[in-house]
Amino acid sequence: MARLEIKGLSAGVRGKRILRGVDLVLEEGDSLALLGPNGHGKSTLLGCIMGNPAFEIYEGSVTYGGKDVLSLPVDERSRLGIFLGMQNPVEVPGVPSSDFLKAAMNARREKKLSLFQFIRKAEAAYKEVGIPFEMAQRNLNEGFSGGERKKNEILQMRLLEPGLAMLDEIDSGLDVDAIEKVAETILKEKDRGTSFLVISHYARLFRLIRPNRSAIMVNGRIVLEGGPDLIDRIDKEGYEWLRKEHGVSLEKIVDAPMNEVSIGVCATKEALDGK
Amino acid sequence: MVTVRIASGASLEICVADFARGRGSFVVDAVCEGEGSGFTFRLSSLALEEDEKTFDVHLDHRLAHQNGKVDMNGIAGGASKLHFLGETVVRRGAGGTRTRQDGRIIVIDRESSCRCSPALRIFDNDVEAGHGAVEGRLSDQELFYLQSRGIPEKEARRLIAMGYLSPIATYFPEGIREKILSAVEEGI
Repeated sequence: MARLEIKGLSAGVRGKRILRGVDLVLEEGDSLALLGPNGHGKSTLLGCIMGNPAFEIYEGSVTYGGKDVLSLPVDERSRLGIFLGMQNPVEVPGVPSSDFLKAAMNARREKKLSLFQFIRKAEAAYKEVGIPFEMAQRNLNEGFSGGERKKNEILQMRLLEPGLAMLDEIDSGLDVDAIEKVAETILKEKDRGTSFLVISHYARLFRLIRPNRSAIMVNGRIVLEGGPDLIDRIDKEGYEWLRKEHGVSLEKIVDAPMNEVSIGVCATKEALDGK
Repeated sequence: MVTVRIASGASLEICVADFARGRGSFVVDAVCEGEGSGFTFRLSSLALEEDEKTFDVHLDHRLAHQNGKVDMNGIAGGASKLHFLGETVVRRGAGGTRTRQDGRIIVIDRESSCRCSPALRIFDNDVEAGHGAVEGRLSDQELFYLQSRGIPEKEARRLIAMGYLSPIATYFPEGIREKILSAVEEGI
């Protein structure tokens, strides 16, 4: 468990800026609801902290427990205690879930788990999250329904015991019972002292997991921080009041595209031929 | 080179797990001669370093209601070249035949190259035939997913490559199966 500190973080995709100077601190044991309209950079922030290669970092820093996160390879960030429950977990064909889980659990231990120890731990976690243990034999996320994938993310969080769990719309695709089950697991992790950074568009999940703080992101910046009361207000009123009360413009800033260049056919061919 | 002729009502399945090193080509010439005959070819191939391998599978459907399946998977690493070629022909008189030809190659290093070009020629009606080719690099997002769980990059690449090549083992009897899996493991 440690402190997460994000300072002046700017990042984007292929030169298109999405984050425009994010400042945010998460103290040990905090759980923060990250709110904001669609497409304003919430998932990008989580992806950048974890190190998704789809994003480019332009400026700023992220430290966790005083360590410079952005300079570390993705797997080291994970072993440092950072976990990202993804919005759209990818299918990894041919890799059985059980092999994957075992490799992930062993990656953070000096002494490798025996098969028996692994099965005992995994079976308990599958049961807790509400996935049949037989699914451990199936290839990772391959042919999983939306709900199964999300539960599978929570299962991994439980088995990897992170210090900071970032959950990106973990409740989308889950039925009401599954949301409650996922929330129970999150609460157990919270009791262990794990910090949480949670994105969701629905107050239901937040009511169950009771974050102590919230922050609203608009146009790639944190525009307002507060307590859990902001969650209910947004649930009832949406985001319009930010404009009136805080002068926050909700219009999405779209980066001007790079200078448009048109190339004649011959020039293109030459470029392709490498001449 | 393997040449086979398959008579009426018979079917043949050839599974090749190729983890050999070197240069060469492997040609299969299969003719489904009899009505209702079938032919299946499955391949898992790993090419590394300076290897140059070509797999060329010809399947000829000559009479009605035949079944064909050609399924080739490969990984090209190092400075290797891996080529999957082949042609499936459905001749006049082979109506009601169902056949499919697929090739997938993943390139894992910058210097390695691949070519995957299955072809189909159809001369009769009422035929169900398909072909597919995928040439690609190891997916960034798959790697990221595994690494985000603490698995080091090398191990993550190994898991993905194993996942890609090892399913061939399920078509072999036990004993050989273990040999194939350890060959995949060693190769990667």
